[in-house]
Amino acid sequence: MQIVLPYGAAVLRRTQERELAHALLAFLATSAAREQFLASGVE
Amino acid sequence: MKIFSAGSTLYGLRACAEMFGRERGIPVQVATDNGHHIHQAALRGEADADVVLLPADMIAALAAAGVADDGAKVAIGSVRIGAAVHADAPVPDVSTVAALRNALLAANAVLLTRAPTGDHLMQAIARVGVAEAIAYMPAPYPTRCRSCSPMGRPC
Repeated sequence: MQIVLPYGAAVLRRTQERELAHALLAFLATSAAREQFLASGVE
Repeated sequence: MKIFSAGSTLYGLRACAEMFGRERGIPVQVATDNGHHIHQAALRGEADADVVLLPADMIAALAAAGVADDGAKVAIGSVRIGAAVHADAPVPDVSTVAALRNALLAANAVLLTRAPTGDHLMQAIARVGVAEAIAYMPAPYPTRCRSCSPMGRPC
């Protein structure tokens, strides 16, 4: 039995900062961001 | 810019938000709460955030409900869910599914968080076939998120 829970991020439609929010999501997909999550236990 | 994150992704996100904010020269606020609270607040249109980090199934549900931009989702990663026994208790054999089932049935109580990880673990316990047989005592979850609730109440 494998007990892992996948997580994701999404932009809410109500945002007034759509461009920034999309830029943040793009940043969260970078290797630099992945390293931060990995260091906190998110694999 | 404001981000709501479930607890599991909070610590990685804080570092990322600091990096992103510094790169862009903008303040980035990060708030947290029980993932269910964030999810429900977002579904009600009451989550005062631009971006949310939640279990993937909740992200998919937000997109399906039209609350989140279906074209703007990203996978963050996966979190392993662990278990512990009381320091004075013998360590149970959980090396096989059958052994895990027996250990769960022999336990005096099984405590699970009310956060999404607890729900996910409960689903796994159900697959083992002992969900109704074990005591289910969710642990209190003390975090509160004023930002999710305009009244400052737990959402």
